[in-house]
Amino acid sequence: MAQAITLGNSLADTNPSWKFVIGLVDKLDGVAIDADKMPTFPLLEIHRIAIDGLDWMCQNYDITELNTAVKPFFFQHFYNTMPQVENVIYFDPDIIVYQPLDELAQDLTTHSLVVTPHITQAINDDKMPNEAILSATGIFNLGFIATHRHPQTLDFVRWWAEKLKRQCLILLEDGLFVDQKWVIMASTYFGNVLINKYLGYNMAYWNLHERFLSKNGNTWLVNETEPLRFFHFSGYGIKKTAEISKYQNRYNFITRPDVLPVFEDYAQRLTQNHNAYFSVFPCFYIKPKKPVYYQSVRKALTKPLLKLIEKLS
Amino acid sequence: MIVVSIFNHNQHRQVAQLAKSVARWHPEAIFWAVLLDELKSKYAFNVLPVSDLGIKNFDQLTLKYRVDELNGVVKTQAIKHFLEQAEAVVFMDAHLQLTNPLTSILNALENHDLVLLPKLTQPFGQQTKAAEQEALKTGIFRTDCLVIKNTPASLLFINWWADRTLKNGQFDYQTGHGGAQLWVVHALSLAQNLFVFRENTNDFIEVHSKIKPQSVYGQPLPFRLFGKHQNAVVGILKKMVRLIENYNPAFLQRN
Repeated sequence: MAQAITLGNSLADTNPSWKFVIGLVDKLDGVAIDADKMPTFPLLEIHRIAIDGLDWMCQNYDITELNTAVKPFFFQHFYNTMPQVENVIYFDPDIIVYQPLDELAQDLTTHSLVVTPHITQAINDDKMPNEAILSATGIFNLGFIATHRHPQTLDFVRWWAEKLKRQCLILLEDGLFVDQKWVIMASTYFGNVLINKYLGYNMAYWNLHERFLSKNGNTWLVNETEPLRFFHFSGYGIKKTAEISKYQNRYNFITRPDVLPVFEDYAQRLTQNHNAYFSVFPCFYIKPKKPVYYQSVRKALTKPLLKLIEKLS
Repeated sequence: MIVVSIFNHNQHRQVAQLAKSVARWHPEAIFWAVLLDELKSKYAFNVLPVSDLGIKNFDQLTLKYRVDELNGVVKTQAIKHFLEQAEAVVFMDAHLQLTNPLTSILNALENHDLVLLPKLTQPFGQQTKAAEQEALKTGIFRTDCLVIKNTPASLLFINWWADRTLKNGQFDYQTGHGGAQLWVVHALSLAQNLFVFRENTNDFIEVHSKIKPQSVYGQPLPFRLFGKHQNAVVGILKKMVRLIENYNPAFLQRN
C-alpha cells in the first residue's frame, strides 16, 4: 500500500488532472487500517470487479501470477463501466512519476497501445539480467502499459484477459512468463502499437547500462538530455537499501552513484507513507506455505533426474 | 538486391527450385546459396561454400550445435556477409519458393530497414491456441524469410544478431536460448526502423517441400541423445523434479 500511495502522490503532483485508482489484490473486510493512514485514492478490490474465473486464479496462481493476471480485467472494468474514460494506463506500484506525461497522452491520440522495452541497447556482459533472460521473460516491461479507447484496444484487452485466465504462469521452459510474453504477440496481432523507446520512460535496473541520471535544477535528466518521466524501483526493498534490486548483480550504489539520490528519495517517501505499518498486514490471497514431508525421499528421487538434466543440457 | 539461402547436398533440388522461382519473379536479383557441405558438383546458381563466410572455429561449432541450431548460426552469418555487399538482402529457406513478386514486402522496405514476418497475425482463432504458445516459446517471427536493407542501423542489428546466435545459438528455453529465432525477437527493442509485415504471405511465398539436412560440411551430424527431442526431454524431466519437490497429498486432497 505504501508503494501505491507513493505512486499516487507522484501522479497527483505531476499529472493532477489524472484519476488514480489503486487496484487491490487483497480484501479490506475485517482489516482495521488506521483512518489517518488510509490512502486518499479510491481502492478497488479484485472481488468487486467482474473477473471470470477469479476463484480458479486464486486457487492456482501464486501471488505474483495473480497480481499480474487481474490487470486486463481492471482495464475491461474501466472501459465497460466508465464510458467517459478515454485512456487507461497501468503503473506498477513501485514506480514514481517525476514529470507531466503530456507526450504519452499525445501518443495515445494516435496509438491504441503504448509499451516500453526493457532495453534499447545491447548488453555486452553476462551479468544479470542478461539479454537471454529478457528473451525468456519478455522484451517489454509490463510494469507500465497505456491504452486508448478504440475497438482494437478493446479486442486486445479481451484477448489479453482470455490468455491470463489460465496461462499467466511463470513457466520459462514452456515460453510463459506471466503477462510479459503474451504482450509481445500484441505487436503482431494488433496494429497501432507504439513501442516507446524514449529513455525517460521506465528507467529501472534492467536498463541502467544505457541510462545515466544527472540533475539540472529540479529536473532529473537521462543521459543529460531527456527528462526522466518515471523510474521503476523494481526489486528494491526498504530493508535492503544498499541493493539497487534483488533481481540484478550488475551495479551497486558505488558503481552507480548517479542513481543513489532517487533511491534515497524513494526510501524516504515509502517511510513517510507508512511502509512499516502496511507491510505487516497479511495479504488475503497469499496462500499459507504448505509443509513438505519426506524430504530425503524426494531428494533420492530427484537426484538421478537432476544428473540426467545436467548431462542433457 | 541479393536473395540468399542455405542448403545441404540433400536439399539441392529444393534450393534449385527456389533459385528458379527467384529468377522468374525477380530477374533483377542475384541469387546466392550458402552450401553447408563440401563443394562437389556444378550448380545452376551461385554457390558460396560455408568456409567462405569466414566463421571462426566452424568445425567446433558443428560439434557444439545440433543441425537446427547450426542452421541459425550459418543463416545469420550469411545474411551479415551478403548485406555488407548489397543494397538489400532477402533471406529465404531452401524449402520456400516465390509464386509472385515480393512487391508488398519490398514496398515496406522503402521506408524501413528491416521487415520481419510474424508467425501468427490473427488472435482468437481456435487453431492458433497451441501455435501461440509455441511462438512465445520459440520466437514470434519467422526466420525462413526476412528482408533487410543495408543501412548503418540495420547492419548494427544484424551484426548483433549474428554474434549472439554464434555464441549462444543453442535451444534451451528455460534460460532464454532459442537460437536465431528467439534472438531476432529483440528486433522489437534493439532494431531501428523495423516493419512487422502482418499481411498474408501466401500470395507470393509457398512451401514446396521440407527436407532436413542429413550431414553438415561433409560430416555426419553429431550424435545426440534423444536427437531433436532433447530439449523436450529436459523439460519433462524438470517438470518431474518440480512435481516431486512440491508433491503434497494433503494439499491435493483439499483441492
